[in-house]
Amino acid sequence: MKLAEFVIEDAILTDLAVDSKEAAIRAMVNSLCKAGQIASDNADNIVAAIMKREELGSTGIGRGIAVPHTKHPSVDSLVATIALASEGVEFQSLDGEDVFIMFLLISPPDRPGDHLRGLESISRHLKNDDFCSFLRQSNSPGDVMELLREADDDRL
Amino acid sequence: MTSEGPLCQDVTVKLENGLHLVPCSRITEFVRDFPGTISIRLDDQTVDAKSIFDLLTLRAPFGTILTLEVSGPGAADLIKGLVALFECNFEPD
Repeated sequence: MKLAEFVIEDAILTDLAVDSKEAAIRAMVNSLCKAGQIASDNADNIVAAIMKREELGSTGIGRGIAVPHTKHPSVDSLVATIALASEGVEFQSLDGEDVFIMFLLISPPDRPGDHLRGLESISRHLKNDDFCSFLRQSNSPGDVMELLREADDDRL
Repeated sequence: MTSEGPLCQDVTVKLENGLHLVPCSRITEFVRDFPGTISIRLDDQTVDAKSIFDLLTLRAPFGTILTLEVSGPGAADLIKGLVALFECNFEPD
């Protein structure tokens, strides 16, 4: 699965400045609402579901990266957004370090395979130091999408 | 403790949602301090079980059979513990 197939350009946040994990998650969910990917009246419910998922174990998986996610019936295909936080966000990550790159995923409850494919795609690219470095330097959603397309096409 | 291995054992993913982020985290936590090597193989793909990024690239859905391969001091105990994790579906005691 290609990143550009499920990351929503209009919902990408390249200069997120927040003081908590929940604020970061809320900003990303709101951004997906503004981009027309989820209905605004589902936002609180989705944020709550993602925070409940975080209680099972942080999705801060190290290397300054977090992948908060949930299933929700309001989407009929996998959707995701990216937030970049140059100041870092305390995410109770596995390695104890702050998070600078967040991929937030929402997937339909009846399609676990899509969720796994999305996670696989994200993880495969985030293993690449160049990808992470270029991503953190991106200044606009357009820059991010161009990078995702380059990664999808193995042009990095 | 003498070095052991490599020891191999197959396990089946019995999680409804496949080997997603929570079980991958549990695996990396479980093997973090093991001084030897731990690989998990799926078909022709072999990943380092100490790397959550590697584990997530397995994309293993329900029913997938994975091969654990462990080498190093205490390999027998470690592989036993890993198999138990899969058997209990990564639920805490």
